[in-house]
Order: sequence, then C-alpha cells, then structure tokens
Amino acid sequence: MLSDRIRVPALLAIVLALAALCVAYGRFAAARPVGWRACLADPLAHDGDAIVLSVYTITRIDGPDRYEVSKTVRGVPVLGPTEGLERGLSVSVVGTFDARRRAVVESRRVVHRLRPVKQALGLVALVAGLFLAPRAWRWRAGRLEDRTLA
Amino acid sequence: MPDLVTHAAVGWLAGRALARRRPGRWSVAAFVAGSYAPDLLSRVPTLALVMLQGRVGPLPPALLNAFEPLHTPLGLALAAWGLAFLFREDQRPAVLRGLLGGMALHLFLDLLQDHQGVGLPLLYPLSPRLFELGWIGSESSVYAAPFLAVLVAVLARRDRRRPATRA
Repeated sequence: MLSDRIRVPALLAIVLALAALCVAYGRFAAARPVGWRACLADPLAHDGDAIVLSVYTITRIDGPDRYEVSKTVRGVPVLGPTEGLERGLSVSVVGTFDARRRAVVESRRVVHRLRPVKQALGLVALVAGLFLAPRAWRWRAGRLEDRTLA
Repeated sequence: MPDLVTHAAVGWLAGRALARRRPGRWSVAAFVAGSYAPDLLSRVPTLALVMLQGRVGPLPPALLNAFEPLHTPLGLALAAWGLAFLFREDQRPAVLRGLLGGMALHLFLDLLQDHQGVGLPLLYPLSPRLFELGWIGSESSVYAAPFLAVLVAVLARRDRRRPATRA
C-alpha cells in the first residue's frame, strides 16, 4: 500500500479520485434544492423555507432593519435589526425566506466578534508551521525525510 | 472550527503522547501536519476563491464548493495516502499514521463546535448529511490557544534538553 513499486500509479489514482470527489461535490452543492440560491431560483416554491447563513460577512447595511451578507454567495439581503452591526463583521443568521421581499427574515443571529482574532491565530499558526517545517523534514534523494522519527 | 493554533497544539500534544508510548510508530511532525491539513486543503483554497470573487465578480458555485471533500474523512484519507508517498519508503507507515491521526483529531475538534446546524459532511459521498455536536462556540478555542501554545513551547523545550525521551 505504501511501496515504491506502486507509488506512481497510486498517486495518479489518488489525484483522480480526489478530483472526482471535488467535481461531484461542487456540482451537488451548486444544484442543491435548498439554501439562498434555490430560493432565488424559485421564490414562490421556497417561501417560508428555513435558511442558515453560517459565518457570513456583513457587506452592506441599509438602514435600521436591513443588511447584506456575503460569503460563497454574495449580497444576501437580511431583514433584521442592524443596531450594533458594522461592515466587515462576521455573523451567522438563522431565518426564513420571504418570497415577496426576496430576503431572509432573521429569527436568530450570532455575532462572531472574535473572528479577527481567530483569523490572526490562523496566520500565526501558518507562519509557525512554515518556520518549523524545515526542522521536521528535509529533502534527500528525491524523498522527504522525517527528522522526528528516530 | 477551532483556530489553527489550537489544532496544531492539540495535534502536537497528541502526537507526542503516542510517539512516546510507541517510539517509531507515530510521526509527531506528521500528526501536526495532519492537524493543519483539513483547513489547508479545504478552507484556505475556498477562502482564496471567495476573496477573488470579491474582486472579479461571481465565480461558479460549483468551484466555490469544490474543496469541501478535502475536509471529509474519505478525502483526507486519500490525501494522507498520497502525501505519505512523498516520504522515504521506510518512514511512510509512521507518517501515514501521524497524518491520519492528526486529521481525525482535527475533525473531532471541529465537530464540537456550533455552526447553527451547518456541520461536517462526514459520510460524503455516501450521504450528504451534516454532523455537529454544537458543544462550544465557533470562536471558543481562541481563549485556549495561548495556554496551549505555551504548554507546547515548554514541553518542546524540555524534550530538546532530554534527548532520550525526545518525541
């Protein structure tokens, strides 16, 4: 399973399998009959559907009771109080789709105020990983060598 | 999901513990790499595409969601298998164990979090069902990260001073 004899065909098979999984999932996610895209495609059929927007970024605030969020889907209008919100803040919104107003009516919201801290920690971890990787591994004779293994 | 410092620190602590119990069977470095891998392989490319979308306009939804399988058990297992082949042949079993262990630990920590029902597709491609335990908030780990980082630094320094017990 890990022998050099099967290395090249195994790597080819793995790459192809991963590509197939990713293509299939992408198509499945895009065609899913739920969520904001589905609601926009057939508003009347999805009126009142539950919608969850998990960790979206506020991209616009339109007055005291309407704002827009974006992530993989851009510009999703949300009807809800905007007090305390600002552009760039991360929020998760649970609500229902209103076909008449083509918007999500917010019923519950979580504000992720520590999101920038989490992102900064991600950057720290990436930099630390890049710095420490050469201490753990080295390239020798066309292969990586793990220095942490005796 | 927890922050990457927490993932890396917990991965190092777990890998170190396993390597000390069974020397030579677990690669600590691979365990840490496995702890990074789900986010590096899946979340980072997606984030890059979302940022690109902000500049160039809408991208195909299929592309924006394409990297999710690299945050599932099957996709990660395949990736671990492929990554193990980059290593010296005699080290591959220990590296593969480390990668798989780190990846499994990462997914477990992600499962703990509350994402309002938008969990992990653990059974993909067998099922699209999403899983989450919702026990902690999605940013709760940032409080633990500094303590974990210090703990890792202290233990790593101690390990360097005691080569006989080095993990």
